[in-house]
Amino acid sequence: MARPCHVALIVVDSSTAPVAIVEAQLKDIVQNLYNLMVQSFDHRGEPTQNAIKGEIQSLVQNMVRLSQSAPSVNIDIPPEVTSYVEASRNPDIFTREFVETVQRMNQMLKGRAEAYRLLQETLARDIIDGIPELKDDVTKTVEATGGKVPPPRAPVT
Amino acid sequence: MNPTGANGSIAQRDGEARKRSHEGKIVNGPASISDQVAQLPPELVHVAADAYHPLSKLLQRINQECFDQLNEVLQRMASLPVSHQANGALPNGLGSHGGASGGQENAESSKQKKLLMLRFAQANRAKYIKMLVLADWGKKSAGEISKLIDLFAWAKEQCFDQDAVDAQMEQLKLLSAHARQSNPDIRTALEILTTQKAEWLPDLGFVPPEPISSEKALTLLRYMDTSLTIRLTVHEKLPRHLQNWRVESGRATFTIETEFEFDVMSFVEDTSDQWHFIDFRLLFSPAPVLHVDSRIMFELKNIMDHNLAGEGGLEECFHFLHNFTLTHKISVLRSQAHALLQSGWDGSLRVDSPHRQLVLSYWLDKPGKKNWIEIGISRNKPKHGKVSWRGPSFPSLTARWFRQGTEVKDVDLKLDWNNLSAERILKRVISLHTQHLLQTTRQNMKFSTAIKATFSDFEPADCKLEATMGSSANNVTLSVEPASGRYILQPVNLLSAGAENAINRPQDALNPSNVVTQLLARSLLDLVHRCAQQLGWKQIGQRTLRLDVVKTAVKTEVLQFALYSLRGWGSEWAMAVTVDASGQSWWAFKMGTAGNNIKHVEKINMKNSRLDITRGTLAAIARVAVNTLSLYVNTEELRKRGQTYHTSDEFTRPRSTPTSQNVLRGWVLHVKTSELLAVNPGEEEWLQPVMRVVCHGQQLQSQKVWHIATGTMVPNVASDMKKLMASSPQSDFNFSDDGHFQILLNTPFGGEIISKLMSRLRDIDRLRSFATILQKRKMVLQSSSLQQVRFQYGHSLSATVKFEAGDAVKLEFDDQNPHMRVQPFLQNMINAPPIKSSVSGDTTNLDQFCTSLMITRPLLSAIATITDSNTKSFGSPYLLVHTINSYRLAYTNPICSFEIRPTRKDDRVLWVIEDSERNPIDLRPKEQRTPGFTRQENLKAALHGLFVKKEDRWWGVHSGIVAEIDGVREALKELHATVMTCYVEGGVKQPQPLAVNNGNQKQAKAAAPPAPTGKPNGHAPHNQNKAGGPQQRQSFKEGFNKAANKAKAKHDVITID
Repeated sequence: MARPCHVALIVVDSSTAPVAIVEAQLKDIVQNLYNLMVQSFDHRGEPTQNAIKGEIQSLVQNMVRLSQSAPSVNIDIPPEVTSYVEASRNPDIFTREFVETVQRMNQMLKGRAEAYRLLQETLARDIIDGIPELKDDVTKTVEATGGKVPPPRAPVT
Repeated sequence: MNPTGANGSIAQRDGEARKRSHEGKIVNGPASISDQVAQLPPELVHVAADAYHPLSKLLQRINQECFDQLNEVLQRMASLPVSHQANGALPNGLGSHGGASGGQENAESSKQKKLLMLRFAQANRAKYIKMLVLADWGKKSAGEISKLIDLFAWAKEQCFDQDAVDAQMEQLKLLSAHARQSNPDIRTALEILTTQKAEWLPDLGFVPPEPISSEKALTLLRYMDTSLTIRLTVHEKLPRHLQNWRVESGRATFTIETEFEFDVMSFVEDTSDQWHFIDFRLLFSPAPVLHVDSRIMFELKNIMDHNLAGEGGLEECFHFLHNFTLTHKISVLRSQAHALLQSGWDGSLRVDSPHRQLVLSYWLDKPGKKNWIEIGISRNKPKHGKVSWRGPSFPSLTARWFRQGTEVKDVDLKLDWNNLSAERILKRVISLHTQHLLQTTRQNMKFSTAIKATFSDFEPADCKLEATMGSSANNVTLSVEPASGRYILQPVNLLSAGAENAINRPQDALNPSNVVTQLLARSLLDLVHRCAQQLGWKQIGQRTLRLDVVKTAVKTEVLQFALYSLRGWGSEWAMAVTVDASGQSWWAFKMGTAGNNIKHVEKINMKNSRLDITRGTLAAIARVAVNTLSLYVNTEELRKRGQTYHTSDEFTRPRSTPTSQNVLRGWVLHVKTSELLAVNPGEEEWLQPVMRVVCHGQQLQSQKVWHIATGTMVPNVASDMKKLMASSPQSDFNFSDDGHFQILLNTPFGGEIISKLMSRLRDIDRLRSFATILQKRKMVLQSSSLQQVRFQYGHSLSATVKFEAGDAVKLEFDDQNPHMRVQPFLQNMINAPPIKSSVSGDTTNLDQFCTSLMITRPLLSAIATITDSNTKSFGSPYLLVHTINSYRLAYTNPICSFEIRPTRKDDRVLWVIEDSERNPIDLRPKEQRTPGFTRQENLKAALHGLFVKKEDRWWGVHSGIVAEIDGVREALKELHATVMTCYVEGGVKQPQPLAVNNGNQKQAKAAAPPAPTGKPNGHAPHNQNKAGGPQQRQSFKEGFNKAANKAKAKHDVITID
């Protein structure tokens, strides 16, 4: 689309900050969980247990923070993207494929529109040929819809 | 998107329009940004946010989920406490390495814990990483992609619109084809119509065949016939079912009865060429007519020609057509069945057609298992797989009938496969089913005679069971409704409606046979009850009397009963009607006191047990009951008395209508007269040996039961009796000329008449024998009845004998009658028990009485005359009657007395009058018993003079007089005159009697004022005599017994004719 969308830009700008916060929090949580994994895998008794305790506390704290900041995130995710991510696929691939699809559709629409224009012209010409009395009406109609009546065909001998 | 397409142009136009519409504001202004903006196409429709997933919500939910899982994991870890403790107890670092001995389990559980924690952390980490990715993507490209999505949605919509336009254009194209006017070749048409041909049409140059003449055609057909016949008879091997063929019109026709026939032809005489199929006709009805040029024939011909060309030839052709026909038959039946569904069978019939079968389920609403008919094609292959000598069998239509889920095999359904009718088949089967139901009901019913079964093989509505119980009006018709299978009970009334419901109800329906029986019984009883109420019969005992008591009493399987109390029957007897399987029967019950037991039952036998129950019948039954009961009572009485009897029935024909049935009037009890009436030995039988006793029912007013006993007398007795009866008509005794007589007897209800009859008979007998005696003694009967007989036995002397209840007979005389003196003796004589005498058989008491009467008549009348005429001395002479045969005539002035007694000489009876002076003192009268008593001398002389006199009829015999019976009057007269000559004026002087005697005398005086002594003379003797009679009787009483014995001893003396 040629026209830039100002409104959308504003939304994106205003939402950047919460997203960044959320991202950071998410990263923290991921780190917490990773630590938990490591600690429970390599368990060394009391210190580890205390560490786990602390880790879990930290996890819960992070999660609380996340839930506090989450409502401020104003991003809508298309369902297709969600399922992409759920299936552990890269959402950028979706972006690329979608862009291609829209391109293809644009081309098709253009082709069809041109074909209709051609059909209109041909039809107008033939109607005028067949029923010359309708020439004025047909011309008016065609021009009103943005087309133009082609010159009459050479008569069949 | 470039504004090059149609939309672009539209957008442009819109822009211009918008510019025009905003002209007022933007006039004269240079092209500003706002203009540019205004020229832009309209904004794309934004896809609503609810089509997206907001990341915030996702984050929150994942967070929550993670927290929940964490909690859960911690819980589960906490639920493995041992490991936790062990872990804590062990020294640092040793738990995982050195605790081999005690920590085996701990290691295991801690491993589990680790695993739990690991899994949780890993799974959630993955989730959070995904969240991270999403957040990253959202930050980077969410805004752009959402615009792209809007665009995509717009393009999609465009695409859709275009598709719609395409479809519209296609439609237009198709429809415009109809708008086309075809281009007729009018020129060619005109040419052909005028000249019959058009030169420009191509001519193929065919040569038309020469027309075949009739003769030629005939010859050709004959040739073909011959050739076909040769082929069929010589070359073809036809199977059994194709043997029925004929050849005509150049074609061979094979006929299969009731199914079809088909025509084939051939061009050769042998089997070198195939047959050609020509025509096919169905031979059953209803069947469609297949036209030769119809589509189906075209198809059929193709198939057939193919079949005929093949190996099978005619055989295969046959099989195909056979199957075709059978299937078609089923189809016809199916369509008929469907037509039935739209007519009256809707709701009760279901038509199914699995495969080639047709299943007609009928009686859908009937409770119980399903019923249906299956019509299908049976292959008829023999079970053992062998082919019979008649060739292989071929399929045929078969019908199977399933009655309540089981196939009924041993029944011939008799279905007509030639004229197909689904309704007929259905009706046939339903008829059979109905018959089965009704037959079962009939067999279950206990009585078979009263059931009339009407069955129709093809019309279920005509199958019915008419059961009748009791009267012919009480009938019930059981039938089955053809469509629904419900039982129908007719006639419809309150009772039958309930019963019908009971049979038809889906759960625990009752057995129709029992219901019908009970229904009949109840309606019969109802009928009886209605009539009984009209007659005023009171129903009793339905509370107190139980059915089983009645059952045991009447010894039949009673279904219903009712008890009625009839007017005049009293409380002891009740009329009962019981209804058992064979109808109603009537009984008289002798009820116990409490009303709950039955002492005796007496069946009221009706000759015709199928009487209609009407008021008249019931009244008749009541009459019969009275008769029956009276018979019962009387026969019981007879049995008690040990007498023989026999009974027979008596019918009378009602007068009103000769056609109506005989009504049993009652019974006749034949009793032996000899047993009822003791006959004196030697006496002739005067009654015919048998008497009939007939009950004549109850009187309306008195409610007493009347009986008439009829007997016949021996003819000669009858004539006497007639005379006897002629004089005094009787109210309750009727005598006819031919010796028949009727006695009317009445008793209260339930009382016996035998004793009454016996006493009446005895009365008659007494009357009769008395009459005979009177006749014999030539006495005049003045009047007679069964109660009394009055007869005259002398001049102006008459006596009345009264026969009273019981044995006693009362004798009555007029006041003036001289026999008044001996009345008690005579009465006793009659009432004395009869003594059998060897001398004479004719010794009835009455006879004796008559004889005595005759003998004593002159004597007594003479004495009466004497006493009446005596005016000189009051009360003298007086007559002492010792017995009827012994008298004493005593005088007080002069004192003398005479004994008078009859004696027999030769064959005569004579009166002997003896002077009692000759008797010993003890036997003298008390006046003469005084010691020193002497008779007056003049009297002595006078008597002596008298006692030597001899007259015709009496004569003196020294001590007395002997007189003939007739002469005793004169003798006494003479004696009286003689005695009276010695009458002493002023009384007789006699020595003083003893004090005792005096006392006795005084007593006698006091008791009897008219005593002979101490009274002034000249008093009217009549009165004295009148009063004296009973007195004498009184005083005689004492000596009566002795005297009677004496009299008996002297019977032979006085019984001389």
